Amino acid sequence: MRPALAFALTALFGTPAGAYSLQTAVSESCHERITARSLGPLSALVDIDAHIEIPDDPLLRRLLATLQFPGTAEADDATRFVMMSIIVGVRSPDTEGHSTFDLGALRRLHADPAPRGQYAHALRGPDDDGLPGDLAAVDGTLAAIVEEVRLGAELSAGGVIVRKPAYLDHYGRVEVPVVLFAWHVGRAIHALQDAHAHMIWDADVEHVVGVLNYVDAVEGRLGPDDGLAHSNALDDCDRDDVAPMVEAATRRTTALVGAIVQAVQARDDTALRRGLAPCADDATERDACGWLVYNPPCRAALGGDDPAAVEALCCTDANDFCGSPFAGIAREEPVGPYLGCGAAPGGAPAGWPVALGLAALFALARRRGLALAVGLAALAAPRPAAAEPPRLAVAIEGHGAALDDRVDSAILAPAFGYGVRAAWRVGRWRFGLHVDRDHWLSVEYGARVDAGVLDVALFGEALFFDDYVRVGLALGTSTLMFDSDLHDRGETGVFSELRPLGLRFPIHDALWVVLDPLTAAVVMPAIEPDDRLPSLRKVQRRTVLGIEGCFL
Amino acid sequence: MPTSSPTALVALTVAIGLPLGARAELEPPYAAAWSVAPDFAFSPYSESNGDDPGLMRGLALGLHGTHRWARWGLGLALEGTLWRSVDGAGEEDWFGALHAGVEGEVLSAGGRIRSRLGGGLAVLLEGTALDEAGEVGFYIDLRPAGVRWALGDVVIGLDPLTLFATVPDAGGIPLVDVQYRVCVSAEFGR
Repeated sequence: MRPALAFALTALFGTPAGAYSLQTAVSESCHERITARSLGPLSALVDIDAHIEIPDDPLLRRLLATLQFPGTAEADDATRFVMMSIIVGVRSPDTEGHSTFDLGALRRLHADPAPRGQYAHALRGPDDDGLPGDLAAVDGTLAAIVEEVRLGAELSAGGVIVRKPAYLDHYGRVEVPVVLFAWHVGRAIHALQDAHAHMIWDADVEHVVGVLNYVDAVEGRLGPDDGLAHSNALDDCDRDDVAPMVEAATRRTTALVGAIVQAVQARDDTALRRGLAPCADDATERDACGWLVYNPPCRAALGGDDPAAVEALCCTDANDFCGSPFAGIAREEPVGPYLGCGAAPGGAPAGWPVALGLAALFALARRRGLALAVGLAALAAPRPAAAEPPRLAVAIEGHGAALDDRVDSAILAPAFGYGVRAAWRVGRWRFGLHVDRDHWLSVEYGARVDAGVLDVALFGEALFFDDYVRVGLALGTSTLMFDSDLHDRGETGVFSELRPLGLRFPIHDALWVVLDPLTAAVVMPAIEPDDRLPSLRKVQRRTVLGIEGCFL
Repeated sequence: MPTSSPTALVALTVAIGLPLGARAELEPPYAAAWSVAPDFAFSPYSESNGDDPGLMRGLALGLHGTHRWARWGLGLALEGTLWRSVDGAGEEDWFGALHAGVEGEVLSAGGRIRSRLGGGLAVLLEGTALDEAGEVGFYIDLRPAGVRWALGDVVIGLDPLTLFATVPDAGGIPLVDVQYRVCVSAEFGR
């Protein structure tokens, strides 16, 4: 099993089922886990598309070789290909193949004011107010599920394979082949599961009594008719008190997959229709019907335009959602503006918390900066007054990197490492050998430190301003030190690092502290010239701090 | 462990100048009490591993006014910034913001090295599908180490690698852009 497995399935399936977030470094794998537990009809799903031909695609073959599924250790590639396609589809409404740490993509997907964008997540649209808004959101979510099922069914014959975006740690957004039918099934599953995390159900989890609101809540403009804010508590599939909804989501996901199989395989959509409709009073198989139903008496009252009936039969915040045990949970951990900057009516200008935050940052920086400065100043010794400076220098360094500024990528690209440099001086120039180990943090499918790369390079640098300042460039090789999603340990490519302005502080006769506030390093251990696999390439802005001894 | 996280860099920025500066007196024109400096910034590193090999993901023109007390300076900054990013429709587009703020700096190595930290308000100049023109947020401009050369009475400044982060819409899921930039300036002082 490779440590950076594309969809982190081994880790996910090895744990008890949980909830409705995606697996990341800061959230649990609810969607993936529920989906994995719900795919009993998997073999039938594969049989539907008997014409699946695994493309001769090195990326796909690599992924299939690394993916593991519960109970499918002996599964053939076609089965695994369908599973992978479903998981890519399940994740797609939340990420569209972007990193979950790509703020720009998150804004587009989750703050999308179009109602359809919200219904894909079983949430209210921005204009879905009051009880009619609940109804519109439930109907809109049902329509979204039906649409995905319809698209999937239409594409079920003939093994249509297309490329869809998925995000791989260290590689970024890549286009992976998927079975289109299975991908649409995954998207339908996502909406149905979200309905059990973003909607408040009655105690028996038989019908919806309220729908949460994300788009208004995250913008800080949630009004009294907008419903409750999206709740991170209700989204937490590991909570014992939401277990009834998680279990219902699991059963209904299984039933949905089975119904899709029946609809496509036997050309019989009876099970699908039954599942999408309310249960009959005498229905005994409750999981085969009523997968997403809005409070029936309330729906009827709203249709009858009878205010008294609406008040008596419908569930709102005012009547504690008719006593639903999930109402209290839904009020916990409401989502809000990321930075606390909202447009709350009548509130203070949105910028003032930011101004306070900025002031705090300055204050913090001043305290820390002064402390560090005082420390360095105390260490600093007069510059050694040697007639001829020492020719040999050996430095031990540590480095770190945090942010990525590429368009349409995760804002976080954390890495850290250490290294040794040895150089020989000729006049103001120094030439030498650079060796570093660079460790990478994976954050997309869970937090993990990967072994990263070993960089070996030759470097040259020039010293200025009485040796207090240096400018340098290193060129060499970068060797992968772990099995990544797509490349083997030992792959070797190129490394370069520009150190545009580094500072040196003498602390003793032969000792200097060296500091490069920002460097630009290109770390590219795997180069794929024909683009059949994505290259493994990182651009890091490192901060380097070290101590240098000068001899001879 | 050193890191290029903004907080650590802020600390480094303030810290850098003191040990160096203790050993060299400022000389004219490096020690001008008042200065005005037009400034050009671009981001040659930003797209170097993206799909688009273009070098200019971000461009900025600014004006900095500074008053100095020996090695320490305090000033005002005004900057117009353009950057390419993905808009609400998923298409790559240019964004624009006006930045106005305060900044502090410390000179070292006889005035030949400058470390600067600035921050203030960012005003979005053009609306997007998700943002309205006129939204006001904030920005941080961190220039941990730059060199200065005197050419007659003019001091040319070069900050070879800086960190600029703008958040012109801080509401909801914030609109954030991070740029690593090169900044060139010409400083006129007295």
